[in-house]
Amino acid sequence: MKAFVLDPPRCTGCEACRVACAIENRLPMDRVWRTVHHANPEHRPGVPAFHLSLACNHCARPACLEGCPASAYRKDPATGAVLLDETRCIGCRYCSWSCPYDAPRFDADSGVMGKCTFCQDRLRAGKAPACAAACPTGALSVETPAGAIAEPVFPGLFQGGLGPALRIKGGALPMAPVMAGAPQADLDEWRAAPPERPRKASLRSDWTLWLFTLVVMGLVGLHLGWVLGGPPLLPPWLFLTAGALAAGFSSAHLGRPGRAWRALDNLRGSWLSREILGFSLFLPAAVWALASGSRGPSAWLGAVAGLVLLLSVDRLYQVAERRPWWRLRSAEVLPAGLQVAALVAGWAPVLALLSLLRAGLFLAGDRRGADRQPLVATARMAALLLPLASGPASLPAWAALACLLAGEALDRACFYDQLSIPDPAALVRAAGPAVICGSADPA
Amino acid sequence: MPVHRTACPRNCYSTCSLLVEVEDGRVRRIEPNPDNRASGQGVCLKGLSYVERAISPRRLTRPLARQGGDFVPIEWDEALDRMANAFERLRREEGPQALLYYQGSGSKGLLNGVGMAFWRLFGGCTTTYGDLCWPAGLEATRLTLGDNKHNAPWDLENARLVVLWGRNAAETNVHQMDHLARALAHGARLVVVDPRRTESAERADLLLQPHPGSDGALALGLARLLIEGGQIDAAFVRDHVLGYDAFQSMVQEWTLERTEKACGVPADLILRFAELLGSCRPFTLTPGFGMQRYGNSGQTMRALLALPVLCGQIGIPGGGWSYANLQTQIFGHLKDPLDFYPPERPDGIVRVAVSTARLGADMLALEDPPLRAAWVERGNPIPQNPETPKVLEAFRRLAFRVVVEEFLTDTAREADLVLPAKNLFEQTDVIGAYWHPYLQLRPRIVDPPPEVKPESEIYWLLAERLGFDRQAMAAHLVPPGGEVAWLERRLAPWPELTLARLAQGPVLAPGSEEVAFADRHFPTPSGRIELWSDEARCRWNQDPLPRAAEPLESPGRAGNEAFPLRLLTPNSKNRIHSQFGFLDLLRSLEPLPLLTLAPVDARARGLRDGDRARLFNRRGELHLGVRVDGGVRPGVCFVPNGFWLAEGAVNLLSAGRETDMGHGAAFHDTCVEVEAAR
Repeated sequence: MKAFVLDPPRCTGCEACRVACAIENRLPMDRVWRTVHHANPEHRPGVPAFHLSLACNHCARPACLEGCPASAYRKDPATGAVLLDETRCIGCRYCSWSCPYDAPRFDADSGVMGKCTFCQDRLRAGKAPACAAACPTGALSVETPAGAIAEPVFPGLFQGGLGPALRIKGGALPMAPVMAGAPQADLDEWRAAPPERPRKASLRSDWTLWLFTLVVMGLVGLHLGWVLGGPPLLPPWLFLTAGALAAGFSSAHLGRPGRAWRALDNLRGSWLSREILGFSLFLPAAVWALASGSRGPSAWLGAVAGLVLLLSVDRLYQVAERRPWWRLRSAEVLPAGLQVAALVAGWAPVLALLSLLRAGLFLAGDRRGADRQPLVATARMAALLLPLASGPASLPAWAALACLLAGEALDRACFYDQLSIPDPAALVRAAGPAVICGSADPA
Repeated sequence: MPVHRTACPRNCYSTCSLLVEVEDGRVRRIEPNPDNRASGQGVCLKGLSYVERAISPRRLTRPLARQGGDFVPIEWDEALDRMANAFERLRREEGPQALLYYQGSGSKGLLNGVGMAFWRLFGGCTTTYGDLCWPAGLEATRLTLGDNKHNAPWDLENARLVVLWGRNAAETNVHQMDHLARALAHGARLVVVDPRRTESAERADLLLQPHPGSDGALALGLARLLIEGGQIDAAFVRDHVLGYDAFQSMVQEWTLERTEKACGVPADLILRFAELLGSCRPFTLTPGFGMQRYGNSGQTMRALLALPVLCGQIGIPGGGWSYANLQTQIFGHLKDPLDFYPPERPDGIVRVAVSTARLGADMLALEDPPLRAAWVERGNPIPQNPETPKVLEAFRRLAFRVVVEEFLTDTAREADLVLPAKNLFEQTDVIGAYWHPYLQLRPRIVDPPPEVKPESEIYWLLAERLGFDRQAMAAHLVPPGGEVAWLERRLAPWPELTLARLAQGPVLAPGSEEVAFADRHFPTPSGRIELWSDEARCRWNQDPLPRAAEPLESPGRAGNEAFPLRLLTPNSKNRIHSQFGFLDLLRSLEPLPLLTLAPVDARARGLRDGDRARLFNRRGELHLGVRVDGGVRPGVCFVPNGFWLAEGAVNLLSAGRETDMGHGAAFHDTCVEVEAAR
């Protein structure tokens, strides 16, 4: 087993490690597997400026490997390297969400991910990986750890118990040099807001997923409501068409749609595999039951598969956001689907309970995006509570449902807008000002 | 894969030893050679990028001839004929001195000397004196200590205090950061003096940001504090220093208040610095080149050097003045800086008459004969020498220009004939260094492209065309394939220096000292360290004492009111002067030059980060993107040098003027104004 060793005070941010990676792996510079993150590049006085060079940390419990639906990752027992089999990768990019170190990179040309191999061949030949071999200051090296590696702690470095094969040398936090201070009044004005980095996931980049999750939530809710005694609100052909379109949208974002079938390969570990299994069982079972008009075994299979599907969708995002399941957000699709079902089945107390619970979640949620706008918040609350206040009996079922779904679309959009997936670039950027450092005050 | 030992010949402190893997006749991989104790830790990003540079599609691989506004490839025979005809006619009609032979510092090697040997056989030429880089500091050191040498780079680990003065090693000598890190790990303190908060300064206990060009005043103020505090080494001064009494009374005028005012550094920071100098011994003062690029900079450097001298830090481990280590300069009669001064008695063959710092103006002014032709090799003077517009004008006025180059640089674009140059892997040579004391072999490890000839071969073929005397050719030039025999002759005086030994890895230069001046032998006229230098007066017309003066183009001086910002043009880690930056591997790191300025200066001009600005003075202008930086001293802005004209070459703004001593270029004696670009 090997581990990277970082000695941050030695790192000058020169990026020789990235150039070495490009040369060794014959990659263009915009696709190399190592990134040097820079904290405080604008040199705010009193705030340290430092660098964090990160590639794959070849974790003991690799999040990429665990979440990969196609089982495209494996861990090499000899070196500990986490390796990607590019011939198995379907290009779903979920590993780029689940890895908090941003190690797997999507290659638009090949449609699959690429990542650091720990320079396997070099390790086997007794040489350091190219990045470490090139480091001119000794800031980056590799070692053979004696035992388990303690979780490294450093400003900007994600901590989450994945067992990264990374040791941060020394214990000193970065310090800013003592220097004459700049006039404080100028500090706030000097820069426009830092340029918005493309986030790992957002409404803009992932609207097909927004649409998919919304449609499957609605279909599962409708089906469940019908199974529980409500009316069949959609004809089978429309149900099938909506489901097929949703599937089409969700697979459109795969880098290799032709390999989509591989996505069922990791039912044991991947919520994405489970989601796809749930969907593959739900749609035919539900359509079959609906077409035959029987609430028999097929209908119940559809209901169970639908619940698995919605649970998997929620878990996918929770895992990526590193959020425990009990910290629910209002736009989670499982409660939303249950609420639709309750509305359709006419279970007023359940509907009321779910509406109030979700309204509470919405109000308690952190307001970082569009939902901070009063209009959006009001519309969201109205869409949740209106079907309730008017009572399902007085409001026509279709109107209550439309109202509910519109609210879900809005809330789900807010959900994507503020998805917060750990990203070292953002973490390091935020870390600089957070470090308590030596006085910048010359007096 | 075969692995070859070689060394990087760029104009860079580190002069790395490289292990090069070759695959199918091409360089596949470059790794550090740990046998080099100074820079064996790793290869910098530029060194790594040779993998691309050697085979870049932009590399010139055939002779090119100007045809209208464009270039067309021609055969070597035709190129040689054109040159022979042009030079023959020039020699006959104007005299050989109508040709300027210009060599830059782009690639080190003993074989570079063949060029001048050729022009001597030709009958002579005109050439330059001085140097762009560091002569003021070299001369200041020579006047004071008698020689330019310092402790081995790894000795820095023994220092208890390191002062990086005007030096950003993290970008210009990244391997020093390894030795610095070791010193800091042992508990050493670090003080950085720089108007910018550089990457190197991130490790500092203390960062002092004086007005650019006021470093001399700061040093004299510190000297006074050390003397007052009884913290100088009285015995060392008594035994080894000339002029202490005069120096001591001169610095009395540099009171704390006056120093604070002259440098713009708060008094308490000056006091803290003095306290560290007084209490942390040994200390090493490592000055950079930036602050010796002003009109006052020779005197500035003498004032700085007074600090380790007064404190007895010369000749001890962990101490000293680490400016230039010329212990590998064993092959010539004269060491830098003397070898680039005009000769006291001109020989009538080579006219050493063009100041490198004033290249354009001096070229235009020459008479009897005026310049008609130029031969440029290993250099890119148009964007890199001061006052680019003048240099461009001077080159455009010539009738025939030959440039030997690997790439179509701004200078090559002005040529009538561009000859493709070899690269470091394609001809055997021996190189020295100026930071560490290693001599190194740079063997031929791959074949050059078929139409690429090393300079020594071009000269040989040209000599044949021009009908030079065969015996003289054999004595002074290198026949094709004759490099190894030629080098063996050069190495012959040192039996311990053989090509076979050099092939094993870097070799310490004969007689090199790990601790310089440990014998307290100072080859000055008095045999002592000269704080008082008569030579400063008689050779340079400067005060014998290192008095501090304001730079020439200070915003405070009359007539400069319209240009209140000082422009610094430092080197960045992503290039060596105008080399490397255009390679795909490096371009994304710094695609275009940015103008960096302090928040207060940006605000006064309505500029925000990411805006575009016009940077101008009476000599020229640049349009650049703006970067607002909280670490740069207000009143100072900077743009990295080395970008080409199309990207933004900083010397459109600098003045062609010399430093006060050493015939250096006062690049940083430049003031500008900035406004939002319309």
